[in-house]
Amino acid sequence: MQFSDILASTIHDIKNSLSMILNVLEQLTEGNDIQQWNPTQINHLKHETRRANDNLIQLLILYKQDIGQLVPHITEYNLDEFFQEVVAENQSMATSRQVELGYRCEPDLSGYFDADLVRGVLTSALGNAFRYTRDQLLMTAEDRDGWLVIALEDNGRGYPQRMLECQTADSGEGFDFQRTGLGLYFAFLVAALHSNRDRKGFIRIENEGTLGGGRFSLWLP
Amino acid sequence: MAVNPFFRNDLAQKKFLIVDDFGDMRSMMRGMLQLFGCKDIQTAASGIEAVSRLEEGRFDIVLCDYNLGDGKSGQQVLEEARFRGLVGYATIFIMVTAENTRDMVMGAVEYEPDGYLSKPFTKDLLKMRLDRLVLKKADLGEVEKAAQSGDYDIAISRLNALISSRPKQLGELLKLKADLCMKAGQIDQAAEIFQAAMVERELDWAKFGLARVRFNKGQYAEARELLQGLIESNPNFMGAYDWLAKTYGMLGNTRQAQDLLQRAVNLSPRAILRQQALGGLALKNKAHDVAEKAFRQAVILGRHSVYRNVTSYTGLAESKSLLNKNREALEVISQIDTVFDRKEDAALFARVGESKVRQRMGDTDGAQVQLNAALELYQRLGYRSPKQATLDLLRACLAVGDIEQAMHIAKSLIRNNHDDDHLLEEIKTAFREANLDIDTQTFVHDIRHEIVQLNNRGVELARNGQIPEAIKLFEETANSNPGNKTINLNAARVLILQMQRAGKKNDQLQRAREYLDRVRAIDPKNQTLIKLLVTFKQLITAD
Repeated sequence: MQFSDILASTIHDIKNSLSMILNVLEQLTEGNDIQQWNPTQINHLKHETRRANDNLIQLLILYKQDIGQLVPHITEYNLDEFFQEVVAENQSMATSRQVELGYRCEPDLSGYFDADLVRGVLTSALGNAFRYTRDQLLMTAEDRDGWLVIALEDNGRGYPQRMLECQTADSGEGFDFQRTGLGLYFAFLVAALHSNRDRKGFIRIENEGTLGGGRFSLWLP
Repeated sequence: MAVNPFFRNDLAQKKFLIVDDFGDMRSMMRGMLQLFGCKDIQTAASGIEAVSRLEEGRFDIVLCDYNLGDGKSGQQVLEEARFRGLVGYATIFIMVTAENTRDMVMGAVEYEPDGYLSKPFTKDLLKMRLDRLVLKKADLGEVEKAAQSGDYDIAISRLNALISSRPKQLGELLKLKADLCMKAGQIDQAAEIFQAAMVERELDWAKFGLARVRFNKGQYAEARELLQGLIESNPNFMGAYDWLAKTYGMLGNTRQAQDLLQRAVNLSPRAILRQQALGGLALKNKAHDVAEKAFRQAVILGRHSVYRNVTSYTGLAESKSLLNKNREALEVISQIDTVFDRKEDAALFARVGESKVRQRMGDTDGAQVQLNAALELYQRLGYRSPKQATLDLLRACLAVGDIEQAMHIAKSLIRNNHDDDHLLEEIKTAFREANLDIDTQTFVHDIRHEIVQLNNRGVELARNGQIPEAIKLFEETANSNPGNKTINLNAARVLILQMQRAGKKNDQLQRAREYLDRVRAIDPKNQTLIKLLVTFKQLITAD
């Protein structure tokens, strides 16, 4: 994907978020009493603001990647602590959407990755999943044959067939990102930035999650 | 998890300092902290203000933005605060960064914060990080306390206890242990940890550590290879540039070293030590314009730094003078007295520097006046004369043709630093460049040999149990070479040994203290010194 394409589509996305925000704010300010602000509208504002912010962060990272200045900062991280942080950051959104957000991993599981980048991927994946899930989201992490697999599962209707088809090879490489959207492209990039000796990270989407919905996973070497 | 019962874990009770140049950011962070129930929150809008807040009172947690606009950076605030003891080992210092700025300091700085927090962050994330860092501090505080006082052996043994008790942060603890081992001079233990860490994957910190081990063992080609690989895979790892430049220097490639540091300085221009090193290399390579630029940066950055160094001023003056800007050179030198508060060691640098500039201007009388003033300072400072200034003084004497004085200074330098090969080479070069008809090789060798012989004989005597004889020999040698660290440490050592066997004596205690103090004045972080001081303290307090 060209950076200019990404730029255009992200600007479009952020513009959408901002006009939503503006729209809600206008509705709200028509009544002058702040006490009467309605929680659904407030949450809508919060959600769209977060989305615009996440989009800008992604854009900045993709820009750095484009000019060759993106170097992952890979350190050892405890997954339990990592998930605690991700849950803490997204809890209020989960509560407002009445989604149960949890995680599952061995308390001693640790792995090597760039925590800021992977958190960015999970946050944006969560942002999407909140829209598609019914009422549950589960993050998991495990060690599979020397790969650290970080996954997000939902109990929605799963990925549509056309998206699963975008994933040509078994390895998870070869997505047609023109069709899947920016979020997956970003996740793919972040995964690929993680390498160990001759192995390189990748992503996978499938509908065989334990919750019965979609499952997105990051495979890090 | 074992938590020190005297450690207050409650965030609400803690005293906070928020440092950020943006008012909105300050009030946002303050608002978050207030939501956690924190009441004692102060703020500072600049690095300079942060330092004055820290001077006024103790804080439990400092949240400091890395990028503070002009003036001091967050890193400089941390350096000054730790260096001056404004924050103790119990204070948690958190550096708030925009994405990826942390690479810029990796491995390149002596003082690291307790944690990083990248912007933007939510209040929940902040709370979680703070809670975790408070717990971590409860665990590691005692290790850091020992390390900060230079007592690495104790720090390492405390760390070992932690390592055997909680495997959760094993990687981080092992990294810390390896770094402490390096500082303590236990190179092989450090190497073992670095190598073990590299089995599973290429870890930057382990590779960097291994490179420093190779350098330390004089295996420069191996160090070069590791560091080059590190820079290739992570061009933002600034510490690797500094060590690769040093390695090039050791391999005799000063030109390559200069080019590399130039690249590093372009990436991260605010590192004062790097600018100083670049200036020094450029002077050596006769790239005077590069030297001028680097030293000028070092002087500017030094205004707010604990690393402010008089050699940045003399280096700047020297490069200006070599570019025929002698007036400006004198102007720079004239700043030294005010900036360094008329300290004698700084003044020695200034007078030697000025003598060289005046000589170059053709002002022979002026040069001689400055040189005489320098010699007087040199006499007064005695063994406390900085090595570099003494070397410069030696060169200045050669420049005005005062060979006798030069020989005298050289002799004292060699006697006090007989095991500093680098310095001995510099002395030889200075004489060679003066085109004198002196066999410098033999001259240096003979003086050095004499000290080595005396030291060996003393060690031999002590080993054979002839302690009083060893004391006599070491004390005589130490008193005629008060700047020689090895000899003075050995003199203290045999005195302590004697008292451990035959009981304490006041005059011996006093003399041992004198020898230890001499070394402390020259090299306070010397590991042998720190170990001897511990033994000495035990001796004093023993019945």
